[in-house]
Amino acid sequence: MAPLPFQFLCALGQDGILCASRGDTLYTFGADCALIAEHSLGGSPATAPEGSSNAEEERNPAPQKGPSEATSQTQGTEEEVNESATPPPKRRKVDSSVADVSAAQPVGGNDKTQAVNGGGQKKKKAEKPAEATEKAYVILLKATGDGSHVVAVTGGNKTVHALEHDGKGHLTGLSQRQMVKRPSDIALTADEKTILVADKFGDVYALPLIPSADDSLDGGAAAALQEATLLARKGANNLTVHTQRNLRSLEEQARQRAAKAAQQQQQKDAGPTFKQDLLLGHVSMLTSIVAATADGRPYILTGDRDEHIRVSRGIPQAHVIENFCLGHTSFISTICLPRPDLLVSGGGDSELFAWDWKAGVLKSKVELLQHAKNEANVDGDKIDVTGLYPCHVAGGSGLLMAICERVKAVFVFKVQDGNLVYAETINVAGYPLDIAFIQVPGQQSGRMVVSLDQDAEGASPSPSGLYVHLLGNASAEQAPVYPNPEGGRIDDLPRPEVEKILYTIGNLRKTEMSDDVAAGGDNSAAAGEAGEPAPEAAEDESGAP
Amino acid sequence: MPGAPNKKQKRADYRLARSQQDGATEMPKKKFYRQRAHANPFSDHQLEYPISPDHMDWAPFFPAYTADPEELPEATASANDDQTAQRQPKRMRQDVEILDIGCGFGGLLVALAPRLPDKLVLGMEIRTQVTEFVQERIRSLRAQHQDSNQFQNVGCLRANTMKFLPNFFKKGQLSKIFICFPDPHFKARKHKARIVSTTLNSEYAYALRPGGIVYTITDVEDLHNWMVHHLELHPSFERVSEAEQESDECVKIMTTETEEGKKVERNKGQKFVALFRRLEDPPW
Repeated sequence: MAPLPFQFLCALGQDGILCASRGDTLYTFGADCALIAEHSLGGSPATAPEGSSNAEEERNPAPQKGPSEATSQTQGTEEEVNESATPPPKRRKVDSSVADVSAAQPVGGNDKTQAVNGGGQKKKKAEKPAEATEKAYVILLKATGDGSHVVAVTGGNKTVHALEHDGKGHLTGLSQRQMVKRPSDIALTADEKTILVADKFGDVYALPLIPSADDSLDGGAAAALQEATLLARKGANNLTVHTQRNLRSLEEQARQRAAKAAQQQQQKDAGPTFKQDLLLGHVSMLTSIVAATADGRPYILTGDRDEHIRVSRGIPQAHVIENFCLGHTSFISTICLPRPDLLVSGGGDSELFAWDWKAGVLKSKVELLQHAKNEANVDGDKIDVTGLYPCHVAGGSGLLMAICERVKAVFVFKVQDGNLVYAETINVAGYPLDIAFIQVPGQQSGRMVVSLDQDAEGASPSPSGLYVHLLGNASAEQAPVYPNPEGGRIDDLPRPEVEKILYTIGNLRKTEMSDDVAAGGDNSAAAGEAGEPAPEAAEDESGAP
Repeated sequence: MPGAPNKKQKRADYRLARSQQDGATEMPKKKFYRQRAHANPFSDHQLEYPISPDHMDWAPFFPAYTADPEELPEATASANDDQTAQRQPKRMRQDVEILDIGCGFGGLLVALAPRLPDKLVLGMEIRTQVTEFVQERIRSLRAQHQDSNQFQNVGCLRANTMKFLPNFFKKGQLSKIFICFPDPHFKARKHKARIVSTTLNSEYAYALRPGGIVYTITDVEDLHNWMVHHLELHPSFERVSEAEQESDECVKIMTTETEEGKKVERNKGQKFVALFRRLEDPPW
């Protein structure tokens, strides 16, 4: 068993406040590194039993009450779950261990699943508590530039949490919005009023940071609902199918549809209960999104697993694609803008790519793998870039840090003449997970805080796992140490579980498999590429963090 | 499955026999190339696609249209540098302008090619066997029409257009996109796999030049409504009027010459046609 380390970090404003996530809890630390507060995101009700004061506090007032109430109904035994009238998509999120077994099993399908899976199902059940908690962990964390708001996404319940920060380290929950698909990256628009949510299914949604009352179930959502009912009527007709058997099943379908209609009526509130506008979409897993500005106009840059970086116009013309930045030969996992006109991307390739994104032109490739081999003892010839962090605090201005999965180093690059140049490697005591830059008022140099995971040998780098590196000339000074907060619930998980949570980027790499294998399943023998399982795989929650 | 290895063997034999035949004028037989009519567009497959449109080597598909080195002044400069010459694909005298997405067995392609002799027509198909069939078909047609040089302007390659369209085509490169009898994906859960969707339409708009046309035809009324709904909803497209649609020669070809079109005719099914024009992007 191993405790979960701090994973995601972000700086809150300019007063030296650091926000760090561990499991489903956000911790804030002051400029003096002292712990200020903890804020549990409650997770799914399964993890926070009814009456647990922590979770109850975070429950939101009226408009958001809907979803959380509905979800809390579904906790408890599976029998209860089956009987409850909550719609399928939501159930899947809460009752994730079952959903894992049968990706999109409709209501009442659980019994069947159990029967089919037999012994396997029992095993899953035994693991359920651990798995359920794992699912609600923070998977994304972003703060506004002034630190007044924090957006966190919890994985299992696919919920976007918006929180308010009082400027002194205390967070208050504003809203929880449950997405249909698991978010894979978030960004804030230039005006910091809209959250851009990129999901595993390739779509980008715009959510207002602070939902107003009249936003809930407005036109957009209502239209989506209407469409859903419209779609229920769609299907084949007797002019499109011709064999007797197909015609028979068509009749059967018509009967079922009639029976379903009543049920559908009940499920109406299954749709999104808050404003979310679909902006654009890739037919690929999105891994990264940033909001950019050029000539005073907003743009949205999105990177996907199929090597594309798309440059779209910003709201309200997000449907217009300006160009693509094409050049990667492996997945893209992260993109960033060290300067407004310079895009840097990284992923499964051994280089970082620097782009003139507005023109869609590759400026240069900057070697990374070789440095990892020389200075960080990486063997093998693949690296997976997990994060790129442009630095804008004193002492580190113009630097870009890069970290890779399971590489005990932070690679430092310099932005020079609109291009990227390798500077140095900072070796760290554990695997870096995330980086935040903290500007402490009254100090000449900023801090780089790196969240570290203990390495495979189990050596703990520092009590909290938060490593501080002073930037600029101050590197000789004694770096402050963040304490390991005692309070709160720290989940102890088996090491493989922890690794599954922390290391997800390498899984994006495509495996060299033949079409037959890719198709898998029962159809592969009959036809080259049946490939039924893949959409589930794309949707499946276990695929990513 | 019993019989499968046998089928495999027969297919291999057939292909071998064909490949040994020089300048095969005989048309390929469909029965050796059939493949299940559904492919999963989200799966990784083992696709070959260029890193970017500039990396695409069109020469194998349109050998008659490769530019002679003398014709291009820049070519002399690049000839000095052997390495870049090797890496750079051959230049083409013109770009592909007409695309059939999901070309199937290529009925539309071979019907369009002689009618649009000064344009390059490309079919993209996700099923390997079917792609091979169309390539063989084009090879035979070219051999049969050596004197008239017909069918040099048509090609077919395997691709997943839903994922990799921008890898093949530059912005505004295409003037016509055909989407004929696409997989209807009836289940609501599979709607994202449909070839026309709000988000994917942006990519069609990217590859199409303003004024370019998306042609859709299907025998499934619901899918027709779906496609109309999503393309009309997209700010970059407007529906082409009925009258203009009637007068378009390509519509007639699309309705009568595609394999699916013929099959629907045999079964006395309906056909639903809709055309959409790519509008200029709004000022930004």
